[in-house]
Amino acid sequence: MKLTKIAVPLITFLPSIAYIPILIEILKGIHFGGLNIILSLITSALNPSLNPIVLKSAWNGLQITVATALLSWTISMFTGLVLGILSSDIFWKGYNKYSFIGKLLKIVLAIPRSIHEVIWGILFIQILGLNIWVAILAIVIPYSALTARVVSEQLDNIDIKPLIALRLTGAKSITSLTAILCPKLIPILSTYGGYRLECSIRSATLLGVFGLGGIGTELYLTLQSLEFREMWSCLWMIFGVMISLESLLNWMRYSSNKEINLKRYYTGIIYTFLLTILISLTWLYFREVDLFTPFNITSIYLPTISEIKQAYLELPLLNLIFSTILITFLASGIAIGTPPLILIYFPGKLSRKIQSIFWIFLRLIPPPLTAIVILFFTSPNISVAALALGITNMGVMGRLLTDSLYNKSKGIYIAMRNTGSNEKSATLYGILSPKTNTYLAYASYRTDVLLRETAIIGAVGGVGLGWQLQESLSSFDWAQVIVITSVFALITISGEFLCDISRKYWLRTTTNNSLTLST
Amino acid sequence: MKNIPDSCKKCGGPIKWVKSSEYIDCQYCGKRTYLDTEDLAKLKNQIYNTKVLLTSLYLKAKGSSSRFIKSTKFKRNKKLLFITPIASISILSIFFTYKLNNIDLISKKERIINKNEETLFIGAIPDQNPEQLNRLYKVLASELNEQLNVMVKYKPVINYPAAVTAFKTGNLDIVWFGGLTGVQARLQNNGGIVLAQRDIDAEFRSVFIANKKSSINKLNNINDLKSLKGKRFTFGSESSTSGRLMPQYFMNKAGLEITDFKGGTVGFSGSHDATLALVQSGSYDAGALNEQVWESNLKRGRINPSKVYVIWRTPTYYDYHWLAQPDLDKTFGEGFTKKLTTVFLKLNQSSTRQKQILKLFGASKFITSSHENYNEIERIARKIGKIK
Repeated sequence: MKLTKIAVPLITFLPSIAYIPILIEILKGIHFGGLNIILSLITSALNPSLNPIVLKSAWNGLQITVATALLSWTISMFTGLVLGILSSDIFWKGYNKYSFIGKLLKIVLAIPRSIHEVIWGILFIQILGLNIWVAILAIVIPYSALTARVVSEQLDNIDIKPLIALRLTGAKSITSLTAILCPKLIPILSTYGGYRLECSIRSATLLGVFGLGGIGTELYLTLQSLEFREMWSCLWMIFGVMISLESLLNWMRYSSNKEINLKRYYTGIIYTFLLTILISLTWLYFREVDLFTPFNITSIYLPTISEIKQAYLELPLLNLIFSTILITFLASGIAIGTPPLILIYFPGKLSRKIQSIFWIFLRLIPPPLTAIVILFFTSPNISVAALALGITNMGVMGRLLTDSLYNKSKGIYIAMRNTGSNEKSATLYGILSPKTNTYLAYASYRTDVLLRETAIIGAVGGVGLGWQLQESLSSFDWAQVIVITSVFALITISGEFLCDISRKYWLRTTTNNSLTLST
Repeated sequence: MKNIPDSCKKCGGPIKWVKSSEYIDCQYCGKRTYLDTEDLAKLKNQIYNTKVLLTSLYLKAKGSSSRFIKSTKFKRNKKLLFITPIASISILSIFFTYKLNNIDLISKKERIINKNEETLFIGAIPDQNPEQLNRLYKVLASELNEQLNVMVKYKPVINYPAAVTAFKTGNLDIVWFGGLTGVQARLQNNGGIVLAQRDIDAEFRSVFIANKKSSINKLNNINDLKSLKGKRFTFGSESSTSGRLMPQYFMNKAGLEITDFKGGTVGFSGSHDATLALVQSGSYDAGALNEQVWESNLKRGRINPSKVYVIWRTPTYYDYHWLAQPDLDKTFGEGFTKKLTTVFLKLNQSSTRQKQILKLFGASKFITSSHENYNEIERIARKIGKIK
């Protein structure tokens, strides 16, 4: 008897099992008391406020947000690239003596990655005060670490034989490294870079709540006071920016696909980096943001060891960790499993276009809003938080999926269609299946992000480490904050370790994918 | 041919076509009908023409630019490619460092308008909608500007801990704080002067509300809060005085802990308005919020009395107030804090602008207050753990 093996594309559907417990929980508490609020939310989407006061301040805020996002994106891509190369194993192949530096760097980078931008923001305000650089730093630090991870892992997956060959012919290690690494960085930069820019716009919006300026102030105020019409004015504005950004990136990718000249490509990249820095700085300057206020560094109160110990004993850590992991698992199940499911159920070119707009739409809506909307027709529990987080991140995963399909040749799909298989199975085996590995790799990074984002959603059910972190921050209990952030870092590191193992397993078992499956 | 209509679009009467004409007027209603849908064709033609024009322009631009890139002139000057950005960056960095060292340049413009060089930064923990807020602080800033003769700038800070921190780091000079955040800010900053509060803040209350379906009865006294045991309950924001701290204090007083509710915990809706909407929808059985928000929503007709009602009003306590940095006199001149206080206290209904400010604050006047009023809140916050 043959061993049963799960078909590769089905692995991508597997996470959507998370829907079962969530739907059970949500259906249990379902009620229709909030129907009129949901209705008013929908009608105000079509009828946003056109009050000139609101529009003007939102427009001003949007410009600051976009400029901040551009600036922090550029810096984080650059530092992320450098850190990523430095922390990859392949870089240290030439200098075996010092290879521990790379490994150490990898572990150290897990700490900035495990803390959410908002938390970084609050910490930096403590030190630097209200300053636009707080927002920029708060985005740059976790994003650089995240980019560094993606870059280093993609680099470590490449074949090192050419490198060895080059080294044996007598090339210097730095020369051979440049020759090997540069071409491999292009796809990472073009796909991942564009995606990070959009993320940084969302983060910059979120950081607007600190009075650093930006559309986030308006957006979250309207959300708090449930002024849906004014909220939609802000949301549609951000939507416009995101749509134009996406089409711009697609256009750039399309035009750069034709001829890749390494030298010109890298000159182009250096240019784009410098230009964006200049443009965003001048933009901010002309929007009357105080770029040049000197920092007045305030010392922060550091808790003593005994206080930390006390905090550690006070917090119900086991319980908190359990619920946090549960939320992360359920949310990532939804986020990862849904896009492929929808792709298969609604195949076709037009529907894929509609899907990508739908994903933008989901990404646009901030998780607290999703949570409140879900709360309006069900009773509060852990699955509300999970579903809200899952829905926003579903948008991100959907984008990554459609993105990776863009770059793919459709040979298998066309062949299958011509031999007479129906559209659904052709999409499954011809389009989705070859991309499963990449998709799952990005999915594992996303799980990381989801863990961080529990910090901003936990408040809904009053559960999880995220909520406890907000509570401790608002009580200015630094000992507790230190304990919780280190627990976050610990979960991130161990989660990454598990993801590593599982990804290696999948990559090994799925080398010959689609063809063996269809027989 | 499909394009020939045989009846009038307006009245439906039959049309007889004369061979040579391009259009014909209906003999019944006079509506002119075109042989081809001419307007459409015209439009199509126009669109096509523009498209051709744009494409040709694009191709021309592309051709000339690629010719330029390929030309020897460009190749000779390839070094320029690197020199230009580096040069422009260095020029800009010189410019920026110059700016950094001469920050006065920026405020020069302001100095001409105002003899006083310092800017007063005001902040607030807002719980109003942005339209109202933008209006409120614009009006307030111009009022303060006129009366005190200093530049006034408003910085919105939505996040409670961030507002406290901004006060601590000295980024905000005067802040509109809630009871709890005001105490937190004073403790973090090692000082702060309570300027004034609204007339309603001296006797502030929270209301406990319940959904009709939850079958929670009106409470006669504080001990009846126990009947909320096992229900789904939500507070507002974690740092809110009226939406969390005081309600929790009264619950504890009645012998009710936050772990006594359904699911072993309470919810934090994030704002007073959200608490109200969530209880009204039935997602939560009960909740606690600011009395002022409840009243104003009642006036605006956002509350459906058949779905949600007040079960209990808490005893009064001190809430919102203006808190100022202790060293304002040093930066703005002797007696500035006093002047600032009088501006607030003298706000009245006589001037339209002042009337507007009072209306937006939801008060009829501002009254004096002192930090001793908040000792009770500090004690409660320490007990609950919001102040260490």
